Parts: sequence; C-alpha cells; structure tokens
Amino acid sequence: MERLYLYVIGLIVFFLLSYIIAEFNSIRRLSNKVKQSKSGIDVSLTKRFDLIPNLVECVKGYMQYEEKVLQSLTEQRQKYEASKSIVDGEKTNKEVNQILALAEKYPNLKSNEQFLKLQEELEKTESQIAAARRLYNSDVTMYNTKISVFPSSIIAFLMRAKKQELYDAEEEAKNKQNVKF
Amino acid sequence: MQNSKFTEAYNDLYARLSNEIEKERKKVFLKLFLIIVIGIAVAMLFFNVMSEKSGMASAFMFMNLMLGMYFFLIILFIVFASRKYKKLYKKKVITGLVEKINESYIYQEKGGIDRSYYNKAEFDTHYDTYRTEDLITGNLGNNIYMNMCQVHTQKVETTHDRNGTHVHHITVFFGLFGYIELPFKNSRDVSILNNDRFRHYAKNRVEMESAEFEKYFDVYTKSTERISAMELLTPEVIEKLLKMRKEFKCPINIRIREDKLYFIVEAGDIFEAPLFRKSFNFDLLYKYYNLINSPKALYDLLSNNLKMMN
Repeated sequence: MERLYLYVIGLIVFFLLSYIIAEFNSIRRLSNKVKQSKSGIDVSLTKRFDLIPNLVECVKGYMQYEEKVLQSLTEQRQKYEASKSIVDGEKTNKEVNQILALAEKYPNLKSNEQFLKLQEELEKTESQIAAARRLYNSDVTMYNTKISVFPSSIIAFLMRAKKQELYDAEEEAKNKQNVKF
Repeated sequence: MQNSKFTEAYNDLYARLSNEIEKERKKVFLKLFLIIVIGIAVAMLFFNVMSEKSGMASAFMFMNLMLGMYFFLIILFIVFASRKYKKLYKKKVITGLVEKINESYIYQEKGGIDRSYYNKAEFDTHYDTYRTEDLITGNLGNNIYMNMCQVHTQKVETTHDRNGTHVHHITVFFGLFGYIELPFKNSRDVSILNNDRFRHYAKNRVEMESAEFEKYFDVYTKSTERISAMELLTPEVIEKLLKMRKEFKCPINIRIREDKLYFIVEAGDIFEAPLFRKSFNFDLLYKYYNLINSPKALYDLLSNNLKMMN
C-alpha cells in the first residue's frame, strides 16, 4: 500500500515538473518571439532610413528654404543609429513623412524621376514598418496574456518575467496627423 | 447581400432560358409521378393476387421485397431521367453565367485541372482518388490567367470483419479548386487556411489581431517571414476576406507559393442543376456566381499588397 502511495506521489511530481518545464519553455519562446518582432521593427526602420541620404540629396536642390528640416532629419537619423530606440525611430520616421509632405509644394520635385522612385520605396518600407509593428503588438499581447493568466502567472513570477509595452498606437496617429496638410 | 451585376445577369438569363430549363425539369417530375402511380397500381394488384393465393403473410413479405426494389429503381430513374435536364442546365445556364461574369472565361463540363497542381498547393495530400469536372479557364485582365474546377478527392479504406472485406470511400475534399498565375515574381510563402482546432497550435502560425478573423482563419508562414503575413493581411484585407467568407458560408483556403495563388472553397457539388427546387433559384445561382467570381475577387483583394511585398 505504501508503495502505491509512493508511485502516485511520484507520478504527480513527474507531471507537475513536466508542466512547470513546459510553461517555462513556453514563456521563454514567447519572450524570444517578442524580441524577434521588435528587431523586425528595427530592421524595417533601418531599411527606410537608409534611403534618407538619397532623399536628402534628391530634394536639396529643390527645397532650398527647407534646409533646417533636412538638417534636422539627418541629425535625427544619426541619433537613431546611435540609440536604436523606438522613440528615436518614430521621431526620424515623422521627419521623413514631413519631407514627403513638404515635397507636395514643389511641383518640379514631384515630377522628378528619382524622387518618384524614392517615394515608392519609402511607401513600401512604410507598409513593412506598419506590418512589423502589428506583429510586435500581436506577440506582446500573447506574451503578456501568458504571463498574467493563472497558473502560468506563478511560473512567470518565479522567472521574474515582466510585462512588455505595446507599440503606442496613439503616438503613430499623432505622427500621421502631422504629415497631413 | 446580392450585387447589381449579378441581378442584371440573373434577370437576363431568366428572361432567355427559364421557360426552356424549367420545362425540362418538370418533365423529369412528370415521368417520376407516372412511374410512382403505375408502381402503386402494380403493387396493389400483386398484393391482392398474392393475398388470395398464398395468404397475407406471404403477400406482405413479397410487398416489402417489391418496395425495396422499387425505391432502388426510382432512384436510378431519377439519375437517368434527369441527365438531359442537368446537361442542358450546365450547357446553357452555367455557360451563360460564366460568360456574363467575364467574356474571356471558357467553361468545359468535362475538363479539369491536373493532379500535379493540386498536389503543389498541398491543401491535402492524403487522398487516393482525384476526380475533376466543370473546368473554367480565363484571363482576369492584364494577362493574368486563372484555372479552376470542381475537385473531389477521396481516401479509400478497407475494413475486414466476419462478413468479409469492405471498401469505403471517404471524402477528403469536395468543392472548388483553382490557381492564379501571378504576373510578378513572388518569393513569399503565405497560407491562409480554414481555422482548425488541431493545426491552431502549429509553430508557424501567425496570430492576427482580429478575434473574428481568428475564428475563421489560421495564417501560416515560414518563421523568418512572419512580417509577410502582416504585410499581406492589412486590416482592410482582413475585413474584406471575412466578408467573403461569410458570403460563401463555407471554408476558404488560400496559399501563395512561388508564382501562383492557389485557393479552395469547400462548397461541395457545384454547378449542379437543382431538381427539387426551381431551376432558376436566385440564392443558388448567386452562390455559383460568387464561386465563379472568386479568383478575380481574391486577386483584387491580395495583389496590391503582394506586389508591395515583392
């Protein structure tokens, strides 16, 4: 009878340990996914900002009175390159959109072939950035849900897993608003 | 919600063909009615004769046997008698509907897509028999070609018991299958499949933010291309895809691979003439209209984002 109790306890301990390991791995996997999707945003932003030198070179001749804006863009890009933070990335992106909006005032620039090609490339990268943000938010939501629901919240607490911040949609809306005339 | 283009096509086909087709359908029922009446008369005659000669018990046994054979004959009769009506329906109504949707489309009742294309799409790979019919080929516009047809795949299973060996044909897929040749180079591999409880936890699934979308679809890509899924399925596309799914009222699966967009719609036996409903049933023809229009609708929905992605 004692042996039976021992077997039962052994089985329970085995299943409990298996569950803890499975949950630990699951939380780790989700955390890695969040890191991967965050770097996806960085990759997309970098791809977009790599077009900035060409953009500045292209519009310089047309937008002589917008020197300050062009200068600010170049500086902001350098800031992002140094910090790689989402906030700096968004500020740089905002400046790029500002340049594109300002270009509407210059009809000669708008018909420039190189500018049109750049504009197309920038639109492509904009949609990639939007997709990367959505993916990041989706991964963060899954991760945050996992670490907050019972019983995986206990494992998360022991792992000191912290909630991740979602990408701020309001900030994006503000950026988009500044681009409109 | 029906659209005006379909209503116009329906009204035109109805005006031209409804009398002819409906007449043919009614002929089938007239023949069936006569067969039933004659059958009942013969059965009653036999019953009287048998009950007088061999008694009630034998008469009932004989009647049961006769009824069984008779029902089998009625079913056979319905199948054969309705052949002319069904052929006419496909020749005139379905062909007419196809031409109304797109003049470049060609409908062939007996045609089909080669099995190799179906296998490349990998919607299902575990089947033994593959049957096709109702091929539609055509140009969606700007030299974008598509092919679609009805596909019926089955798995053959053999069971053994004390009564012997039994062969069972289990349907794996029955509905519309097609593919569109993409006019640009595509390097992405994205699958938008019908929501499946077991596949839901697969590694390469990408979760979308729309809970309603997640109820109907599961999205899969390679682990290094998860952003592709988001680039393709923007909120606008998700909304339109959901609307399409609700209109079809049956599962849709889409796979974009290399230079093709493959799709299947689990609509069952399609483009068949209704026997027990009016031949120009509005809802049925609207379903067929949506199915024939599905490649164009899918291409219009997804092509812009696909081009941007590549």
